[in-house]
Amino acid sequence: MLAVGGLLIWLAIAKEYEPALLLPIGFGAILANIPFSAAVAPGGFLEILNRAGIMTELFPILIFIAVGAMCDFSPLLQNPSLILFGAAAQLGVFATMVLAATAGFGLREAAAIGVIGAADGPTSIYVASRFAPRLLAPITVAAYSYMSLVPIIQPLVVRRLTSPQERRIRMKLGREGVSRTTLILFPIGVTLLAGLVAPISVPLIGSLMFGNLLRESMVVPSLSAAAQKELAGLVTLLLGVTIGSTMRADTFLTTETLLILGMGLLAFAADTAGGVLFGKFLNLFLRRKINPMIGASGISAFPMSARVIARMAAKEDPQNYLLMHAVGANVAGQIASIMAGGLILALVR
Amino acid sequence: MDWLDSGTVLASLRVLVLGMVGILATSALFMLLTVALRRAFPPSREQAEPGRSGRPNEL
Repeated sequence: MLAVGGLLIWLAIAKEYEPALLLPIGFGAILANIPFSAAVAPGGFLEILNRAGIMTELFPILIFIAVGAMCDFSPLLQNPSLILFGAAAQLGVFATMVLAATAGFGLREAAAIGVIGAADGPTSIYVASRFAPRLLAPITVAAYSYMSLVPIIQPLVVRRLTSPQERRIRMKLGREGVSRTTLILFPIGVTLLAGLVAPISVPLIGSLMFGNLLRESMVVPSLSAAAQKELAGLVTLLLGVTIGSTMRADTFLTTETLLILGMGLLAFAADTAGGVLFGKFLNLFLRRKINPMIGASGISAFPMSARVIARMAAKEDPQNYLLMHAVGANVAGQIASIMAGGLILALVR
Repeated sequence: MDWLDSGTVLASLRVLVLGMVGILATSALFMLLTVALRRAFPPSREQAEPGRSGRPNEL
């Protein structure tokens, strides 16, 4: 496990794969696996952080406040139909849950594994800490590893599912802006609606939207800035090192971990495929076609996924500017991945 | 981990169907909310330009 910790640190520094997470996780793994380490003994600081921040689900919630403060929903509000791409791209979450159940995991553990596909680290941690605490470390490592591999995984899936003609489809930009009142009322309305549909999702969606309200209100710039910078940095640091401390040899170096990593990859690819196929399905009925590639951005890896799709479109046709559409689908993916986590918590007993 | 428990697989299929229906329905509600908000509170003239929300995009 010391070598695994070293590998994660190397990936963070040399390859710059999600360094903000993989570096603390790698060092946490080293701290936890030094024989007789007092850091993870009862009363050790990592054990206290695990109890206080992970088992209580506090760290993921705080991360969502930070993420909400960073999110600009205006590309989505300019083109509301993009919300559906976020929903379609959650197919992999549920499909992988079935696969994991078939492989012999219990329903709660299978559900936690499926959430890897949402490419949403905090939601993965939130669901895993409730449903599969013993699998928390491999699920978290898989979720963040695949998020960093978006530029490799998504183009492979998108190219296989689309023709060059489809990838060249141009889409018009929205002609209207969005009023400040709409930007302020959107996070409040989404929280209320999500709370009515799945009350168990309120901590997740509520914290995301609270962060967004801090940003959009424009009356608390210092709170918004603190959420985006200090809160995000501090909680990411503590979350990473604490997750790393749960990577013990007896629970991590198992065939289950390999299975979880494999199924996480499938979940990620299936989510990408779900979004693209939904775009192709819509094109069967639409007179003005949409570029199905934007469906792949309906995952939560923001803004990396949107950038990857915009770059792919520009590669096929340098005059095709898909970035704003892809960003809209991408922020829809942020909301939808949290809703997927909330629905799983509500539906799985 | 036990290999292939049909009860668990059936339960997971139920969650798949209900989950996808639930998330599509919720997203449709969000879409309606967005459309309603945009109609009720249209942008002012200076915001009604292509790609403008009145604030810089940080991407």
